[in-house]
Amino acid sequence: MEQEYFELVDTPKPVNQSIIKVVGVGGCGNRAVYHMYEKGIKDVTFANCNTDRQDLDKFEGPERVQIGKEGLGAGGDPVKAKEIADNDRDRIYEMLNDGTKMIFITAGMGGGTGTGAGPIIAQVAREMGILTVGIVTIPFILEGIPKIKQALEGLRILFNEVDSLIVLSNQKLLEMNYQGEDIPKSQMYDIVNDQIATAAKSIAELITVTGEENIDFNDVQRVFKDGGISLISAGETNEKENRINKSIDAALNSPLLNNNDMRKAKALIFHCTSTQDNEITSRDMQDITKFTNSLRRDIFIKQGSTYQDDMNKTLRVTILASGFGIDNLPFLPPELQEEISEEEKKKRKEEEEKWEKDIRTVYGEVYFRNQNRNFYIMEEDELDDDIVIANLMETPPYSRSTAKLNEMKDARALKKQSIKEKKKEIIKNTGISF
Amino acid sequence: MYTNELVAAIAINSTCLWGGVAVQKSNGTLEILAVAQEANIDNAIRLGQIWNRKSAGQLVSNIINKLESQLDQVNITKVYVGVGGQSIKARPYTITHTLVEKQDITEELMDELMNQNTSQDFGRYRLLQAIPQRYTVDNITQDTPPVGVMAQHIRIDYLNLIWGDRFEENLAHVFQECNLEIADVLPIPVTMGKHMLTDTERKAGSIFIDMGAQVTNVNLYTDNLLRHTFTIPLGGDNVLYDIANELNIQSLPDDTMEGLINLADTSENPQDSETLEIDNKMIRRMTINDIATARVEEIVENIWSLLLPYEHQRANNTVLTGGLAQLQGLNTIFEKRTQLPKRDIRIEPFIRINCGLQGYLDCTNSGHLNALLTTLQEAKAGCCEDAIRVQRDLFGNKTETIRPTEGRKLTKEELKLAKSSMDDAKDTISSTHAENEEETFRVESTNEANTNFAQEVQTDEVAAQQEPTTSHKEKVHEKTSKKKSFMRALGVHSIINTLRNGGVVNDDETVI
Repeated sequence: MEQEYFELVDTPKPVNQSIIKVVGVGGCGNRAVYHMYEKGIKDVTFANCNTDRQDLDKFEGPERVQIGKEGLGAGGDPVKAKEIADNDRDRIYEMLNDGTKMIFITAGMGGGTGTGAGPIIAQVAREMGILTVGIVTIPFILEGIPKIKQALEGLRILFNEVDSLIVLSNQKLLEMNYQGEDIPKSQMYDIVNDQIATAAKSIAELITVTGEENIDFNDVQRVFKDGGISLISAGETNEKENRINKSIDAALNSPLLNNNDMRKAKALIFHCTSTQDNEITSRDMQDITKFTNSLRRDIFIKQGSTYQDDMNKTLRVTILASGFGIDNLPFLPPELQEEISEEEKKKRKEEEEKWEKDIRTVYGEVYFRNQNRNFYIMEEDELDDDIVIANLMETPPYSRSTAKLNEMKDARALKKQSIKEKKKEIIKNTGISF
Repeated sequence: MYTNELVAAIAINSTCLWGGVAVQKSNGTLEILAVAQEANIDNAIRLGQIWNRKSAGQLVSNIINKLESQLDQVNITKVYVGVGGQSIKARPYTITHTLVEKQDITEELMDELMNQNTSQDFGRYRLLQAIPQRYTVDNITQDTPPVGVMAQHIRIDYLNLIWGDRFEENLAHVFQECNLEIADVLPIPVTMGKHMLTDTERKAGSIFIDMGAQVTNVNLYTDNLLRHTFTIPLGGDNVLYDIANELNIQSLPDDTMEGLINLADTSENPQDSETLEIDNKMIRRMTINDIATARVEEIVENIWSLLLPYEHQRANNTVLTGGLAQLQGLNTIFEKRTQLPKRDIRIEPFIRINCGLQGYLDCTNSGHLNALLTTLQEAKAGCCEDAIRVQRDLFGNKTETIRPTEGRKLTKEELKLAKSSMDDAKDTISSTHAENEEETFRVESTNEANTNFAQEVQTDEVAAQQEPTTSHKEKVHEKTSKKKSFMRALGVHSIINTLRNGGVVNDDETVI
């Protein structure tokens, strides 16, 4: 039977008046972009890319670009999506070749297109000299370990292709907003879309909205260019007393920061939004300086402020920081090795252990609360075995990896085997039986 | 009081070293005359056993000096040693013997059979105690030795408690170096089980679990007999280590074990949990509870799995004691992991021995003394030389001993004087406890009258006056539990290093 393909028709290119484009890649990315499109971000254009035509057509409004001829999707396989996107670089080039100077690539990691095609789009954009910022999400814990693994692998690949990468954890968003409630699926994705939109909007409008103390494209470029891992966080307060410190605290204590230490940032934008009547004062400025003094000495800092009439008595502080190394996202896995030889068995074991550690870093106590513990049950002979005791003590059962548990069990089996062999040898040599 | 009535004991715990001198009264009570503690044992004692002989020797000497200084004119020459750490385990052994013809079973035959049991090769273990359990004479089973019974076949079931040979050698070496004779080595799990369980509980079948700082001892009793015992090398310190390690905390609050951890935490959401600031980090209480629960569950799983081959289903009671047993919600874990009904689990922090320290410190209310008190209770008199006055040089070394006159009963006037002197001493103790860095129960009874007074405080009237105040008890408890949680967690770290290095301690006096 002949394969039916979707006709390759992209929507007409809108006349670009903006230098910033938000590109949604894959189902999750498309949904997020559509959400932003509906919400509206000043002077920003939107485009959706997908290997699945049906999915793409669900979201009317943003520019739609089908990657690959078939339009049948990638079947959740990032490798296939990567291949399709790689063969369709021209189309990506066309999409971006409209005067765009900065793109946000939004995608959900863990699926096919977002994970596989995202890095290719980033590659093309950077080749064109476009400032490329990834705003991606990692799955909910309930989506299962295979998807989480796929997401973290994709994250590392994307990290190497973009100028800056902002990672949002769906699980943390869910915990922050619903605290274990049973909520409809659509609602779950709404909060994710909202967060991506907020992040993109906050950054884009730093450039597009003319502020009292303005931040321009070059300021943002300086922060994001080769910026590695970036973080954006906002905090606000209605109180008058000590309001800068309170807002900073709220921004820094956001669970979305993944416990990253802001003091390690290499570049930072500090932006305040308030009504004109409620503008920052000299005392506020003192507090801001106090905060910036606590950062690295060689840091690039740009301060900005905007008046916004609907803020009432609220003061919002937005902190955008970059320059975090790959070490600051410790959950990123090592690059996939295509072939793992027999001798590297040990290495694989370590890697497996690291996986568990990485997932733990990302999902924290919720993951561990839901996991079966890897208890090591001793045999009577082992109660006096120094190595077994040391292993047991060294690895808290709260986080003991399956790999470690298996290693301990293997060691026990090996020891038993060697005792058995020794006994056999003694029986053979002496005739004494046990 | 006569000095030769005194018993002296040292109990080696995984948290500290305790020493005590007491008199066993004819009514079964124990009159504690002196207690001393050495809390800083990290280098010397590991998992309840002696690791570093040099450091341990120093600790034992310190304990003896402290005890002797509390009991002027007493020279401790012999001690009972209570051990309860790593490697103590039970190994059953049965001996059957057939006589040429029916004849009366004699003491000599019983001794001979016991010798046969004790002289067997235990490999890398040594015999700690042989407990005859059942005697079967011509198919009739009894619990008491069948001496005088006429029979031809005899079968004895022993339960041999054994421990690692290296530990026995270390112990012998340390006490020899300290010029102390070891009267007997008593297994703490057994002595504690004997005194902390009631006869009814042992008859009905009980699991007795002492959850200490570094080790957890488990005894199984059925039909009033100890059926099995083993020691799991994990305890409360591991819980502290896990918390410090997982959360990367440099200093744990002192009350981590006592007040912070709740094993029955049922919080569903991290957000519901209280947030604490520890070591400049915001930490959820739920996370601390989860880490602690995981370790305690692992210990309980191990206990249960090791008990499975034995008749644990016949044990109707579970009695828990020790520091870890004080954790909130431990019951829940036992119920969850062992399917034990709630009513069968009893947490018994304190020992039931009726005793007092010089009549005014109620030792029974300090669970830390359980091991020492049971060891003292099991000891037999004759540990100290007849009243000898010891003179010491500036460095505390004995220089001269003078035999004084025999002790005598006090006159009424002397008794009155002694009583007021004891009251003064009581005040001194309170203040000493608050300040004394060595955490020693220092009793300022340095004159003969005080020593003699101890035997006179048995009357109800005096005993009532000697009742400790609540605040004093609290102070004592506070003091004994004051050892920093984090230091204990660090202790585990150093144990891991030692075990990893094949038992090599960074000291010239390395044994293993």
